[in-house]
Amino acid sequence: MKKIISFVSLAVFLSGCSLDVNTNPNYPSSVPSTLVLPAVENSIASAVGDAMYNYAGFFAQYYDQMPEANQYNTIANYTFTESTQLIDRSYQTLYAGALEDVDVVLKDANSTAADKYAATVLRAFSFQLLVDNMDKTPYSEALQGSANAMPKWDEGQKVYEGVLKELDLAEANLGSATMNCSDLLLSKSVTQWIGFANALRLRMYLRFVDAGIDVAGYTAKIKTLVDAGAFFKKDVKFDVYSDQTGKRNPWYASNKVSLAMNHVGAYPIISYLQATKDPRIAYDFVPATKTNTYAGAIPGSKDALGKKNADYSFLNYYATKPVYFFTQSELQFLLAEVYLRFYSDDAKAQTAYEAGIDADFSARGMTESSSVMYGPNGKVAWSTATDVAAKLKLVYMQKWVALCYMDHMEAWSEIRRTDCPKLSSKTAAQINADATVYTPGELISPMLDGLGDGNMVKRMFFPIVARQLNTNTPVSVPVTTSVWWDKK
Amino acid sequence: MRKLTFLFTCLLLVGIGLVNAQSKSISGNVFSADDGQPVIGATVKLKGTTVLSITDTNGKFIINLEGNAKTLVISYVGMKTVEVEAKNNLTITLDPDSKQIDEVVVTAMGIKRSEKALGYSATSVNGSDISKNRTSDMMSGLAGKVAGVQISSTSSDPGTSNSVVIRGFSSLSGSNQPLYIIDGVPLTNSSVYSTDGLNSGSDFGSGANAVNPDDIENMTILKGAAATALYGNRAAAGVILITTKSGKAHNKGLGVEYNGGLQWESVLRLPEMQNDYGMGWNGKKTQLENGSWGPKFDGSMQLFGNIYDNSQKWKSYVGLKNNLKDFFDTGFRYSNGLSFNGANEKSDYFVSFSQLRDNGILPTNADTYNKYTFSARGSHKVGALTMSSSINYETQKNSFSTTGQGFSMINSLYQTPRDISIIGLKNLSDPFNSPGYYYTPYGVTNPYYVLANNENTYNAEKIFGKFQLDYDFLRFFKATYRIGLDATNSEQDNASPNLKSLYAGTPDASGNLEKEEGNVEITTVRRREINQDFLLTFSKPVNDFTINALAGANINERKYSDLDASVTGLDIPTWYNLSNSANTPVVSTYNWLRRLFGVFGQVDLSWKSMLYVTGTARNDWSSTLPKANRSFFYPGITTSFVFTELLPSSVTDWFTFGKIRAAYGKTGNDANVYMVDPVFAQASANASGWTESAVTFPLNGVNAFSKGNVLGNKNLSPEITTEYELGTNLAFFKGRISLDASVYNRNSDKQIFSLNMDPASGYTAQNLNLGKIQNKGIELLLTVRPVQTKDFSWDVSCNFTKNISKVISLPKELGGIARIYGLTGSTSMYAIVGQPLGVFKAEVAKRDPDGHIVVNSTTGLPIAADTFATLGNMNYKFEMGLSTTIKYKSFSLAIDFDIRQGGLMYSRTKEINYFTGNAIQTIYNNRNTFIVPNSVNQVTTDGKVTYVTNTTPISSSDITNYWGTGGSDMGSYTLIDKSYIKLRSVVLSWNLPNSWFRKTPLQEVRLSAYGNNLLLWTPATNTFIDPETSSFGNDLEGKFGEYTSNPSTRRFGVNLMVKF
Repeated sequence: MKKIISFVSLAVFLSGCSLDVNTNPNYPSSVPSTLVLPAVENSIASAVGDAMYNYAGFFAQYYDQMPEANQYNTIANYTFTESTQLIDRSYQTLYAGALEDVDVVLKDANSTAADKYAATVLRAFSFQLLVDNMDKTPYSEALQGSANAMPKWDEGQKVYEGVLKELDLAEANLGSATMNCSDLLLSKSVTQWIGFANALRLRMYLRFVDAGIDVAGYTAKIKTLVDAGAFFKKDVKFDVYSDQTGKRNPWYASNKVSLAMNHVGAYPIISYLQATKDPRIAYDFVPATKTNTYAGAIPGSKDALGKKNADYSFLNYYATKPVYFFTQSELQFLLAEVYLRFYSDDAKAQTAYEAGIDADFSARGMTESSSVMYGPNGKVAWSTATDVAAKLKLVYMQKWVALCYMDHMEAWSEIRRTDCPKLSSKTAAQINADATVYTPGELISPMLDGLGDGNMVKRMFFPIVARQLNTNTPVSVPVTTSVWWDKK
Repeated sequence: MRKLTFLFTCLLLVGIGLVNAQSKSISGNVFSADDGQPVIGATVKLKGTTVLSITDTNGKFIINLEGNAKTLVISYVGMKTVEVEAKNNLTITLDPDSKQIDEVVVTAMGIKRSEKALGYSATSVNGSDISKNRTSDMMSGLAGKVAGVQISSTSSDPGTSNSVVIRGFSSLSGSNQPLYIIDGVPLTNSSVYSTDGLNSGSDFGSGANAVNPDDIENMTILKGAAATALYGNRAAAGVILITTKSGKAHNKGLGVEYNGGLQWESVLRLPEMQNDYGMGWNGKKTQLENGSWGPKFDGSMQLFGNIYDNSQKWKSYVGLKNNLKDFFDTGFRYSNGLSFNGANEKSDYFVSFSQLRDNGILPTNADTYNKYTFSARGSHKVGALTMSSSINYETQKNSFSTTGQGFSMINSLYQTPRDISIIGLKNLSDPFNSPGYYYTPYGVTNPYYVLANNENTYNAEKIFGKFQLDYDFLRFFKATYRIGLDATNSEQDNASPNLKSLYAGTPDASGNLEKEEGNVEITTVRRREINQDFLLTFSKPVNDFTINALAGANINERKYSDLDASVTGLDIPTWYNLSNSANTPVVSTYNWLRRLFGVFGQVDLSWKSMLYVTGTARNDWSSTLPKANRSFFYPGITTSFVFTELLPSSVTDWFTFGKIRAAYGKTGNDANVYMVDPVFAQASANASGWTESAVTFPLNGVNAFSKGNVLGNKNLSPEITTEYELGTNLAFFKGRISLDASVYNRNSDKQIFSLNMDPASGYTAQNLNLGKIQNKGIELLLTVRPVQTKDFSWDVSCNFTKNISKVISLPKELGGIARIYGLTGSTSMYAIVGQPLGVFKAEVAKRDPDGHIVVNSTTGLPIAADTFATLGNMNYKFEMGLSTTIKYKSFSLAIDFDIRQGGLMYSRTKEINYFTGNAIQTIYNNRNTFIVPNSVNQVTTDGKVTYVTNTTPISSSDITNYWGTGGSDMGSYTLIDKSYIKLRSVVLSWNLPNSWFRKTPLQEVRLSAYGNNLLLWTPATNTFIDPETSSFGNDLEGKFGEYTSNPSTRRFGVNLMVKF
């Protein structure tokens, strides 16, 4: 009997193995920051290249809701609300994805000054996107984890100023450091990162100037930047995609794979591309099935006109298309604008303008020469504009064309800053009844405009996820209210 | 720990003291004639003296002989008193006296106790009651029958799991399902359901489904903390104790029992659809629409669908009333069970086999459930040592037609226009019925095609059992060692065909087919649980006192691993194999391991079968908590007082039995694994939320990691539940009327929760101990036997439960609100301080101060209020069960109603029926334009807001949109009242007269016919679904509601039971 008891006790008490088994075997508890930077780039690409890209493309009037599908009715009709949550996932992807991982790189003792610089540039870019969407965003108290679960929301201007200061500081520390982090965006080229940062500065400075904030100071900063000319070469693009589940361009994966197609070309861009005899129309769109000609839908006209899918141009889809963080083309158009406005240097402006068109033709792999646009018979040749205002309009309109199907978020922002293309004075119904009242390329207030006729989307709602979880989230602001830099 | 050591030392000293107090005595055993079980707590008196003894937990008594007294009087409440001659080794059988009102209850650690000794509420259910209505699992037959226990089937599909919630939800993140203990060993009851209820919902049942209901001798449901404390940590949500049948000695017959049954099922509840409007959108006929928004039926002939080979289908433009119903088949199930048992003085054995094959109401074999069980158990006595073992094997294969949005069978059915014949789609060799030329391109496809070609199956094998040694020593002591094992291996296969290549070149207008490139996913899961108990028990009557004591230790280890492999882009479109693609399969694994140690003790004291006190204590050490908070202790004490023992017999003649009881107890609940330390994960981003939109590393040959979005917590401590309970058990007129009533107050503090955070904090959630949930409630069980004659009896019983939950606290800095579950952009379920758990908030229309709906002055459509409104919560106001049993000679008829009142749930079935214009509600105003009743326009002049009566009607083209977005309820329209009354079961059984087969080996033959879920009544507003269903599993999230779940069923069956 004793034997049994001792056996039992042994079995019970010696088989009692350790309780220290709570380390997760499925995930690493720490990783070197070299493996983290590409995750930041991917998160930003997902926000700017998928969810934001999608709605901004409606607001820039590149495309509209396919009539016999329903996914984006509320975006096309401007009837989306805060609870439609258009920005929620981008907000989460940028903060809990990109910006949280930026923190890992910044705090890792093994990160070089160049790694930290690249991370800071991506941080500045992320905050720029958040501000351009929502005006205000958490900044000074953000990313503190449980130490501050409900960060306050900062004024957009303060956020711009803050990230510009961060860029300066990171650049001051840069020295001759090189990058250790893997880098899928700019292949570890510190020069290119500096060039990207300078382009972001240029973009943001212009917004300060047009908002009337310290105009002299920011004009001087712009000139210093442009004089130095240290901008990136080619495009800043996240070019990693392949046609396989989980590896595709995210907007393509959402809209061509997960959802059935939902987009048809919009009337404003198609009419403008046709009017300017722009061969890039074939890159963006396919002719309508019914007529075999390019045909765009008047914005927000789906319910009223009862058209069929076959009436309109579908989009061309590109599974492996890169996500553009900053196109060379946009950079050149910004430079053209600067030469016109701040240097009154028409020759340099023309060179930059034509370089902008060149860059876009090249990015799209067009077989036609870009000179068809600005050459002797080009519909948008520099000579077609006679004064500075008309030249600026040329630059802005070609920027709008060049950002189409490349960088919709920036297109929507620049429309808001420059008010170009401008809003047609005619209603959608009038344009539908008589196309001659319309100047190709003008924006059209949607036929069914949930914001009231003539009102356009000027900002995005705050995310519901912040509304629900952070009592510091500001009260809801109508999307017809401009963001701080959109004063014009 | 010091407390326990002290306790055990005391026990030991008391024990030694008692051992010395023996004198000349005789012993015997008392059994019940009813079920052959020992009678515990029977009074054994030496006639004419004051010498008295009480039977112990084995029905055994020892009594001192005194003087010339030679007769023993054995009495027990509810049984006929007998007198026998006093001699050693007596076996006494007591016959029931009228209705038995005090039963033997198996309590924690398998200790059998007289019900009257219990200081807490415990419901004991006989095996025959569990198996009577022939459900394929052991729990669903009890729905609505046990006060304080909410049992709901997550769906009516064959082989799905049950949600069993005892005394309300008390844990926000942990399990709220009870711990199942089979013959002393915990049963792994993890439920196998799809975590993607939105897109591919499925439920393949839970571990408890592996138990053959016919194997159950008895089940006890322990509800309160004081009753379950001995099981520690894992029993915080209550315990279901199952005692299986064991071998018995047979005077006649062979000990063989056969059960065979047939069952048919049919649809119980389908959404009520309109029959006035057909295929179309925005009031116009179209040829490709998946909705009934066309004009009124006119009987004309209409072409519809795609053109194939220069031809097109046509149909009469008339409503098909039974269109949906005709799609469903009659389900059929057959089952067979066979058992053998026997015993002698030294040994016993029990062996059973069972088989069940169920093919549900869907055409084809897409909803089937095959289950086989085998059990063998036995015990053998060698002197004072008893060895027993039990081994159970179960294997099952289920098929489930996934629910949710997209190409699911049910989603495609509900979106069929009212004039397209669904059964007309059955012939899949007709090109018009193939996905390529299906009549609509809008995100749905032929339901018959889905059933025939999509694969979603689950295969599992489960082995559970134990080996146990019991050793009686020093006369009053018993030592027990038990090791239990529960191991499950399963494989889940999910596959869909490559429609893109199968239907290349077809008019795929919306590109729906093009994205369906086919997928194969295989998930294998291994689970293993090993549980060891060491117990020392002591039992001794001394004069008017009886002392029972127990001390023990427990070691538990649970282990899990899964391997998931999937591939998309199938080269051979319908051959489902991982090698069938040029793409690289995505492979992932997940493992966890957790351990728990516990020591525990319990002391029962009773005095004169009148006053009972029980103290329990347990200390646990859990591996899932941070080291410093790993150990937690929880005590409990219960007492009961049988006051009728003090009353004169003139009163006890009618007031037969009365007891009051009180209990206080605590239980703890540890964390899930790996909630303490932060981790990194392979990076992936998805800013639009569609499944395919996620971009995951490696990309371009580069790998990357991202910091996890859930913040770990090094200060986690266990959830602690404290519960007070008061109750009474009363019986009148020898048990003809009895009442069991309890009130309880249960507070679960320091909830462990992965709380969502504003992502601007850098994280989306944080693991916290954050707050307190209270559940207060009343449980009543009233049973009455109004009529009883020699051949006829009529019983009525009613149980009533009211549970009031309240979130007492959540951390202030989080605004006192935590989301439990919700859908992107719409309705969500929350925990909000001061409100019941599970509050629903949703979008509603803006209202002016007088309550009028504010509409857009241009469109006439309601404008959403600035903030979401609170619409109600998930909790029933009350639950009630009504049962009646009528017995006449060998016939018996039992009828059970299950009544649940109040509460809200989400219903996508409603949503999709509004969207497609199939719902009966959408024919409002004959679909003519109308002004939203009581609507106003908001006018702002000089910054001042005023409201004027609205005169803008909703345009005819907006009517579709109006209903599709919830009408004037806006987003909140998806919430429905989940009240219902169900006729749960009707069972008619007939025991054939023994005289018919006296000369054959037959011992007993019983024929029964039954019906389950026969009728369902819901409030007039719920014309959509059976509100019992859930698409989000069987725990708290499941109470969010359903996401186009498959319809519920009613079942009819016949069963034959034969004993040899």
